[in-house]
Amino acid sequence: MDTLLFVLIPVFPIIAFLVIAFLGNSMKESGGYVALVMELISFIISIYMFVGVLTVPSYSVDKYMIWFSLSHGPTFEIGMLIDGFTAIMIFIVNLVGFLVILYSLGYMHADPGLARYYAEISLFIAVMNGLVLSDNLFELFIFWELVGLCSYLLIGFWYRKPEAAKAAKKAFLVTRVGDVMLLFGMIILLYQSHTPLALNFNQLYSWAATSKFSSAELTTLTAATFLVFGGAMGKSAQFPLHVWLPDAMEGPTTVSALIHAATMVKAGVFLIVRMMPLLQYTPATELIIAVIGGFTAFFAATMGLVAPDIKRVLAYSTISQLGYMFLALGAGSAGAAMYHLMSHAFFKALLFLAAGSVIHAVNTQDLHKMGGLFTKMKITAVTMLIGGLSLSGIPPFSGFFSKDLILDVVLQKGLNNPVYMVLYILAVLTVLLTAFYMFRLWFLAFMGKPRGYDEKHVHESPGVMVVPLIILAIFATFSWMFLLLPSFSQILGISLSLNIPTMLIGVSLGLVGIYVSYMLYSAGIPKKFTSVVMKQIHNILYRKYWFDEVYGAFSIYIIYGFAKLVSMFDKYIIDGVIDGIAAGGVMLSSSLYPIGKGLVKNYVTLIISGLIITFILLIYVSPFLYGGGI
Amino acid sequence: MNEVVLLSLSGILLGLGLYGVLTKKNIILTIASIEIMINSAIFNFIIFSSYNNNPAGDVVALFFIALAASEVAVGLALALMMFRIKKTLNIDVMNSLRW
Repeated sequence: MDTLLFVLIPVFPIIAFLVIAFLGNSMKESGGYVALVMELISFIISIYMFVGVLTVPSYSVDKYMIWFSLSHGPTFEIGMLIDGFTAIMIFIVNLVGFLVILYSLGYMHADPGLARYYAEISLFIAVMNGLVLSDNLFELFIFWELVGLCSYLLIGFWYRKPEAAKAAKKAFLVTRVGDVMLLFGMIILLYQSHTPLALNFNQLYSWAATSKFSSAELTTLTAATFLVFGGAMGKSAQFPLHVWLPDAMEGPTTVSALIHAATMVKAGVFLIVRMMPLLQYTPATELIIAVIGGFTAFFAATMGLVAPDIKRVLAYSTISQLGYMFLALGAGSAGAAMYHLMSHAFFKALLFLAAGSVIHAVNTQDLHKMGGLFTKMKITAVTMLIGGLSLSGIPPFSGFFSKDLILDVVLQKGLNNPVYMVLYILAVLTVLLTAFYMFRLWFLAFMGKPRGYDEKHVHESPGVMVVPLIILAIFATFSWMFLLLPSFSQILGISLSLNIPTMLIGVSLGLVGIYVSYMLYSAGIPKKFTSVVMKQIHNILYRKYWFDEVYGAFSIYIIYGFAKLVSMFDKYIIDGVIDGIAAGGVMLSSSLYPIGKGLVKNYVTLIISGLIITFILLIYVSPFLYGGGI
Repeated sequence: MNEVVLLSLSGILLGLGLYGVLTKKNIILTIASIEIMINSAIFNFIIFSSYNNNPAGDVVALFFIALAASEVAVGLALALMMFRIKKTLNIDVMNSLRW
C-alpha cells in the first residue's frame, strides 16, 4: 500500500470546505454535489485502505514529519498511524459521511443556510478523518477540538431558534469540561513518559511496556489515564457529562446521524482504544471506565423510556450504547468495543436517517403526534425496523453479535470480579430497556392511527434519502459477516463465538422488551398511569433526574457566584487602585486649576517665586542636608 | 569692590525689568521690560568677562545683542497681530490658550 496516498483522505473534504465556504452562496444546491464528490473520493481511498489492511492484518505504519522540537525536551510531530483500528474507523466515518451527504441533498433541500451546512459538514468529515489518522495525542487533541467546533456550529445550525443556540452553547461548554481533563492528562503523560517524539502512540506503548513502574509512578499514570478518560467522557457523553447530547438534537437530523451518533461521539471510544496498551497497567482506571460505562448504559436507557421526542429517544439510546462500548473497554476488550462501535455506527445512523425521513414527512418530532405511518412510508418503516431489531440485539442482525460479544466479555471478567458481575447484570437489564424504548418509538411512529398531522401531504421521501437508508440497512443487517473474515477478527482480537447461555438471555430479554412495548403501544398512546409510584417514576425519568436543573443551579449559584466574586475583586480592588491613582491626579490638577488664570503676569510671578524659593533652598537649606553648598 | 558695584547695577536692571513685566499692562512696555532684563544678563557676561580676562564673555554678549534684537522683532510682530485681532494692546486680554 502506498501510505502517503492516505494523506489525501482528509484533504478532499477540506477542498470541498474551502470551495463551498468561499463560493457557496453563488452555488446554492450544487454545493452539495461538490461535497458529495469530494467525499466520494475520500471514501474510495478509505475503502482502499480498509481492503489493504484486511489483506495484511498486522499492518501498522507510522509516517510522520517533525513539526518543531524543544532544545531540552521532546520533539513534536505531525503524522499518520495506520493500523487495523484506523482503517476500520476511517471506513465507518467515510461511509456514513458519504451517505449522510447524499441524504442531505434531499433532506436539506432549499434550506437558506445550505452553503454553510455543506461547508461545515465537509470540514467536520475532514477533521474527523484527521483525528482518526493522528499518530500522537497532541495532534489528536487539535482535531479533537476541531470536531468539537464543528459539532458546535452544526448543532447551532438553525441559530435563529433559541433552543438550538442554547443547545450548541451547552454542548460546547459541557464537552469543554472533558477537554480540559484530557489536556491535563496529556500534560501529565508528556512529563512522565519522556519519549523522544512527544506523546507518539507507538512510543508510549513501548515506553509503558519496557519501564518498570514504582507504585508512585503507577499512581501518576492512573491519574493521567483517568484524565484522558475524562476527555472521552465529555466527547462521548458519558455520565455525568451526558447532558449535552439529548439537547444536541436541536441540530438538523443529518447532523445528529453523522456527528452525534455515528462518528464524533465515537471519538472518545476511539481515544480509549488508542490508550488501551497503557490502560492495562492501571486497573483502577479500567474499573472506573467499566463502572461509568455500565452505569451510563442503564441510566441513559431509563431516560429513553419516556422521552416524547423521536430524536431524543435515539439520543439517549446513543448514550446508552456508548456506555456499552466503554463497558467493553473497561473489561479490557478493545476489539469488542470497536466492533460494537462499527455496528452501532451503521444501525444508529440508519435509525437517525429514518427518523429524519419521518420528520421530513410529518414536520414534527413529537411521537405523540405521529402514528399510522407504516402504510404511507413503507421503506422508511422497514429500514427503521431493521435498525431497531439490530439495536435490540435480535439475531441475525449485526447488533446482536456485537452486543453479545460485549456481554460475553463482561461476563468472563465478572466471574472473577463481583463489580463486573453487577455491571453484567446492569448491561443485561439494559438490553430489555433498549428493546422496549426502541419499539415504543417504532410502534408510536408507524402503528396505530394517525394522531394529528397533515395526512394528505405525507409520502415516502425522495430517492436520495431512501437509498442511504437501504444501504445502511444492508450494513446493519450483514456487517457481522466481517467477522467471518479471519483477518478482521485478527485485527480486533475477537471471533464469532456464540456463548449460548448469554446469547439466550440477551435475545429473550430483547424479545420481552419488544413484546411489552407491543402490548402497550401498538394501538396508540396508552392511558396515563394511575398508581402514584408509577407516576413518580415517570416524572423522574421525564425530568431526566433533574440533571439539567442541578447543573443549572450549580453553574448559576456556585460558578457564576464565584465568577462574580472574582469580578468584584477586579472591579473594586485592581481597578480601584488604578482608578484611584488617576482620580488623585485629576483631583490635584483640578485643585490647582483656579491658580492658572491665563494671565501672563500670574505665570511670571509664579516662575519668579519658584526661582526665588529654589535659590533660597539651594543656598540656605542644602548645606545643612548635604554638607556642601552650591 | 568694582565688580560688586557693577553686579549691583546689573541686579538693579533685572529688578527694574521684572517690575515692568509684572506691572505694565501694555504689551509694548512688557516687551521693553523683557529687553531690560536681557540687558542685565548681557551686562553680567561683560562683567565676568573682564573679571576673568576671558574674551569669550564679550563674544556671547555680542551674540545676545543680536538675539535680543531678533526677539524684539518677533515680539513687536506679535503685538501688531494682537492689535489687529483683538483691537487692544492690553496683555490681560490674552488668555485664550488656557485650557
